[in-house]
Amino acid sequence: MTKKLLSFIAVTILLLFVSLYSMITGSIEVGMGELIAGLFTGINENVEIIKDLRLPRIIIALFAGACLSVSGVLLQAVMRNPLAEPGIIGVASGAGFASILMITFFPTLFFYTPLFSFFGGAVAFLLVYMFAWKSGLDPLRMILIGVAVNAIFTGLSQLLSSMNASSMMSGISVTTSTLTMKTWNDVQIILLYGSIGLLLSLLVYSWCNHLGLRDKTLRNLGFQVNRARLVISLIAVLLASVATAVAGMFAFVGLIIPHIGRILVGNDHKLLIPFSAIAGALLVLVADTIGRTILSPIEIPASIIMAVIGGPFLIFLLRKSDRIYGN
Amino acid sequence: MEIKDITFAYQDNIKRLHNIAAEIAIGKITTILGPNGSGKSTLLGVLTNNLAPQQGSVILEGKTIDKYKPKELAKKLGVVHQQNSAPHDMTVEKLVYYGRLPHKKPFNQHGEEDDAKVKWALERVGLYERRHTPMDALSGGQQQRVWIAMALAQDTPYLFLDEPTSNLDIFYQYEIMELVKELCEEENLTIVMVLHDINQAIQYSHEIITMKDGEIIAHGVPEEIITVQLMQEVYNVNVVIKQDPELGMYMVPIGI
Repeated sequence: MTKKLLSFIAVTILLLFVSLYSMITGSIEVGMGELIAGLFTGINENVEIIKDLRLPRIIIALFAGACLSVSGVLLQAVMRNPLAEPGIIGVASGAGFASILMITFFPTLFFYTPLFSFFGGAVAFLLVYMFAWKSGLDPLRMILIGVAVNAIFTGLSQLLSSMNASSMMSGISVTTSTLTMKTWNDVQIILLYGSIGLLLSLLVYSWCNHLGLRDKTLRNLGFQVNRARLVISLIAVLLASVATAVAGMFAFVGLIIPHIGRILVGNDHKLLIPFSAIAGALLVLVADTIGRTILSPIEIPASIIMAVIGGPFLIFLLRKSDRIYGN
Repeated sequence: MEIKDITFAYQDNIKRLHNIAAEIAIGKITTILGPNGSGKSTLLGVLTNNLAPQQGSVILEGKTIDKYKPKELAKKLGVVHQQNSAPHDMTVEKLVYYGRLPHKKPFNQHGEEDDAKVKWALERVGLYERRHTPMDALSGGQQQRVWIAMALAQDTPYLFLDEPTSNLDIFYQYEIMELVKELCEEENLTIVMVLHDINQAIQYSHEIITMKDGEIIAHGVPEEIITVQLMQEVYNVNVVIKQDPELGMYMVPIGI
């Protein structure tokens, strides 16, 4: 119990610390006192710039991280597979494609982008699920089909971008995420849809726990397995789509964080879901802060940093995947 | 429980069960025997509403089982499947609480009755002292007893067990069989199970159903139906059947 509690306290404190550090560090540097005073009075010019440019970026990084990791937790529960992750199985690229499609053809419906990407993500998820399901989801087959679906949607997105290269600036970059140029409008979107998704995920934690048992066993307990799967999947797709629509593609967040969460707080989703939300927010914010400060003034997109950390991690997980979940 | 003319096939349309009809005796232990692929597990799947037959029906207390709401059926039938899995860090007690799922109303925490039933189930299988142990710290035989406890916590009049002794050492096999016997005698449960071991079936069952190629070959009291001819017909094995004043009836295979 103490280990779980400590883990929660540690990530929360780290999150607060990194958020503050991220606010005062970068091309414009201010002191902590200056920042707090400036936020309240609104007369410090530097703080105003930070408020307009850096704060939205930080909030979006936090939400994107939380949404993607929780989405990973939910997909892992539904597919009963520790390797399920919105990036790997193509949900994110499906969502990304849909939002690019939307921005290309209906740029005025900007605020509804997450809804579009939700459909894109749902289609990708359905494809993977249908093709990988053969009386159970074989982990390897799921990953392979996910890679294929991912490639298809990434390709389609790239096709669309190269067809109208001129409008690309207004859209979302295809394979990487850029958290630059984010405004309070973007914050509004991710705040609204992201909060809905995160709240819903907390409501279904016991269903996620149930899915740790076999379908047959659950059915004989009178539990409606398929209904639970459908609802949880929809929440997972919503979370991944919102994050992708606003922040772009981040690979591996939904893989690394839940895995660490399982080690630190266990497989009980009552703890795993909130822990993953906090830790995911922390990870993406750290990646973004490193990205924009380490080689300043050059910015490395947070997603690139995530990919560099996440790739080896996936290999590591695949090597020991038969041990996870105790089978 | 009445089984009425069940015919079942998977998607490949090969019939796995033909015209199965039988009556399961209330308050007794009934064992389904048969060689691999004879359809015994399929029959158990149909009886527990996990597989839907193309023809025929299973009638439980005057109502076909597919007409029950999932939770209502789960209050009648407890099932222990052959293969089970749980998150490795789940404790014994948490797992057994799953048995209370059909009795729970949405968003309700478990009440006194749930606690009492779980305690009773854990004591019944002799694992109450180990209730806080995670599943992966238990032996195969203990894990099997946890799954049985989960089905017991469901508080059902019927208990179905699919090869409850497979992959267990002989001591644990008999531990499970003794438990099954006690549950039938003391808790008045109706038990239907699939077994591989013919002598265990003879020793512990009130009735035996023998199957071959998706059909019931014989159904009745072990002493009456287990014969040299039946073993030859069902398993293609020559056996000697003996009566011992202490052991009762037993069977020894002698060749093919």
